[in-house]
Amino acid sequence: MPEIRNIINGCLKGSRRDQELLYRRYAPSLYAVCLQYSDNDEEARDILQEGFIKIFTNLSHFKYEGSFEGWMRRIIVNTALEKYRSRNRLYMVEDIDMIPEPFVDPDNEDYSGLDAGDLMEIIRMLPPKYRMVFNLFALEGYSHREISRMINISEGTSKSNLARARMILQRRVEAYTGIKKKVLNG
Amino acid sequence: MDETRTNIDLVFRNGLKNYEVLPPPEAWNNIRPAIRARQRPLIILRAAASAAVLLSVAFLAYRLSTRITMPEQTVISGLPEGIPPALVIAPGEVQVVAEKNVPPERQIIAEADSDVPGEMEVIPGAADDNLIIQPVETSQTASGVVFPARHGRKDFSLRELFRSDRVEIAAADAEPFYFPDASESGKKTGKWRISALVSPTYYTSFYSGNDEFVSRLMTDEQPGFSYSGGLALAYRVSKRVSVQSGLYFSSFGQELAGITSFAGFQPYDYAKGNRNFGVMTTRGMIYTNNSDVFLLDTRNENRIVTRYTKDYFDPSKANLVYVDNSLRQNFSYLELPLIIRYKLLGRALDFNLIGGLSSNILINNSVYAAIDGGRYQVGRTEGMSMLTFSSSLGMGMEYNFPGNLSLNLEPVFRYYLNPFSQTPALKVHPYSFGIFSGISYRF
Repeated sequence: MPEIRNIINGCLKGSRRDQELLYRRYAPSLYAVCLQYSDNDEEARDILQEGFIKIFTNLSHFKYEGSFEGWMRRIIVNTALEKYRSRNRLYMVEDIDMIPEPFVDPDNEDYSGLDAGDLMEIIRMLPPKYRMVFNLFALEGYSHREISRMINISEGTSKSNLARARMILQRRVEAYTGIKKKVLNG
Repeated sequence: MDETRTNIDLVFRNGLKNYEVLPPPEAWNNIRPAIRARQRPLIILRAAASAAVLLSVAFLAYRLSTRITMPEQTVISGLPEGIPPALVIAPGEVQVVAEKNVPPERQIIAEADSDVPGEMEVIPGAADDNLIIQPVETSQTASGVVFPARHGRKDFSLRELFRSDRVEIAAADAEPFYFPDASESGKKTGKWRISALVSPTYYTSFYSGNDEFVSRLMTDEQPGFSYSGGLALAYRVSKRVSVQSGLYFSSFGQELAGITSFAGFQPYDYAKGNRNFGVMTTRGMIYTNNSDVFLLDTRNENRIVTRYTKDYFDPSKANLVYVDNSLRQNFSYLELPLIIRYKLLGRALDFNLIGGLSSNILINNSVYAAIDGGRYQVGRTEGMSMLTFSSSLGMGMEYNFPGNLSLNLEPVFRYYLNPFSQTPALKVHPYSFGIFSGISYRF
């Protein structure tokens, strides 16, 4: 398996073989990110394509100062954000700071039956405005302040969207778990 | 907040951490041309930069060569003290410079020497105290170079000037006043010249028709590594014109993206024939001659013609070994050129305009897939013209070393007059650009 540094150097020289190697190696994990941020498969594919074009054209800016996969993931997430902003589906939601965070009790709930595919399916059922905030906050680790700048909403809206997203997700996780248990137990 | 409880965030964060999904196959097919299109300006910029560097080097070499040709300035000595040198003869530009405040009688005055040709134009400077003489033409005579002038006293002779009691020129009488052309010294060796030249070559083509399918074929075809080289023999017809011929070998290829090849097909080949697959290209039709190969068009562009369609054979259920995701066509030609070289500038560094025609004979034609640095033979391209003609235009630079050797650098553009394919519908016209370099021997 060629070293990633060699593949990057090859890509910088315009080697089509290395470009394809890089794509084949990282496309599956990045496509999962695209699915997480998109409404449908077609949109996910568009994000992946645009993201990879940016990755290849900006490869010279990668200075090996951090994880290459992390750098690519940020590009993909930014591409998804651009797409999201361009659709202009945002609308103001009242600030709700005090909605309690939903918690799942590991003693009472067993989520071991849910695989990554189920979780992805659940997350994609969220309305885009909730999904976007949940992804950025819970999965990417951005703060509400950063999210508010990224998708042009107030911090309060970011918090309320996150709270609603969590609530919806918890219900769906429970529902999925219940259905799965029923199916498995007959 | 109860720490024993698990945040829903963690359920998703951990659950999706290493999640991977294979993207649809067409995604890469859409990314690839976009990368190519974005890289093209970079290639153009690089080509422009290379051309600029080449021209700069050529210009510097030219400047250097003119200095090498006439390096010495004639030094006038013996002037009375306090009067700086009044005559400076520089290469290509003879100047008589009268220093300020030099009285008129001390300035250069010469008599006409009617039996010697050659003229020198004397141009007064902005002020009368500056005098510049520009040679129009010089010639060597037994007595030196004579410059009839058109200023002040009509004509003058440098010989007389040299003999005047005002200035002395070292050995002016002993040696004729002559500017040797260093470049000529090497060129009088003979009329023949043999050269060995080699060049990396960039081949591409354009399509003059409007068939959408052919246009799509072209976008999937990318030029591969190409080179050309051989021996050339030139004969100097006149001082400026040479006729050149020779024998060149050139190899070029192209890559067909999205034609994936697999090995291990032989057990499933019920037809037991060799031409199981045909692939349409702008160069002609590729036919497989290896019964072990299975080809698949992953771009779904219907470029493959086969009896083993999806209805009859499912490659995913067969035990096939992936080889490569593109096919490579390779062609080799013997070239017989007839080139005219016209010398634009003749110095230590010569500049030549090169133009002519070549006949190209196809001597090798193969199609393969790359595997672990080696080649997996697939077949050959059929419908290729065995003989093609090309025109070429270029600029030759030749640096003459002392003796009979010279170094050559020749950027050459070549356009193929007839398409490579015999199929009339494929009006694809190849052209190429190469920078030939090598050495020449004159005899």
